[in-house]
Amino acid sequence: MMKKKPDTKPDADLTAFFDAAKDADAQPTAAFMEAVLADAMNQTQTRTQSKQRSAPTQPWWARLFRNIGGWQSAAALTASAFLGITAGYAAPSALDYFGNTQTTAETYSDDSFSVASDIEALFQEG
Amino acid sequence: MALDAMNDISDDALMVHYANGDTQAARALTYRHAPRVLALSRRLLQNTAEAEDVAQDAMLRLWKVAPNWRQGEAKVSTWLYRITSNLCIDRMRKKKGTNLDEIPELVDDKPSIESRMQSNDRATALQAAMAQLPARQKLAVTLRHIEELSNPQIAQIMDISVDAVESLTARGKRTLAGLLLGQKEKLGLE
Repeated sequence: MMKKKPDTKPDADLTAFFDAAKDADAQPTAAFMEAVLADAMNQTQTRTQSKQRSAPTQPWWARLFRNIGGWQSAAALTASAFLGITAGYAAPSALDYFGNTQTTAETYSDDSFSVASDIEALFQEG
Repeated sequence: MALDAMNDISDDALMVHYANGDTQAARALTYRHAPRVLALSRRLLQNTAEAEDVAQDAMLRLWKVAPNWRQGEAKVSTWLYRITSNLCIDRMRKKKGTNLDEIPELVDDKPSIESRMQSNDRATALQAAMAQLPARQKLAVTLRHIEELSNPQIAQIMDISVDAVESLTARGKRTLAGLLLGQKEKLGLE
């Protein structure tokens, strides 16, 4: 013979027990909440530190190299510096920039300034 | 940002804020979820120290997963319930066969009046009866009838079908009814 199951209505009958369990919920202690928060802060710190470790700091010359605009700028700067130093150390005669040119005195003859005497003559005439 | 100002911010957004180093977001997530996680683990493990341990562990996993959190994929609460449930079931299985005498009585620190005492007695009786249930039945009944989650939510947390949830809760309640209904008179229910 099949055993008959007890005719229970668990939902309705157990409601009072479930309600009592909900009422019995104790609030978490401050110590527990602080411990959870401390874990959160530690995780943030750990993440920040590992980020810093994974991105090693560059030496000063590498940062300078990057800041001036990379190898193109560095090449132009080096070439300019080389030319400047070469010009500074080389003898001026070798450069011959001033050979076969006129001096100021040669360029402007005495006649160029004769206008002053003409003005004086004009004043005398009235 | 002030904690109050974070009340309207979604869990997903708080996760992003926390991952970017915002400590107020961590605080808001803690106040929003840690009490529920602790309550669930306390009900399942019936030991406050162990429950705090598990709840702290579950929250720690949340902090760890924050930078990789995919918005809109899972709800933070569901994810936490799932982690907490798994951690609790692991512990329950390890210490299977708990002596009923070891179950601590629920401590009520409010003024002792008759109704509170009766409620406390019922909660203790339920706790003792729940200890008799297999781990997954206990979890399903707790989530459905105490945490008041829907069956689809429970199915997601437990990674089973809705039918399986219904079956687990029905079997669990049948066992509980058999254990508790005989005590109704003693507990002021008749």
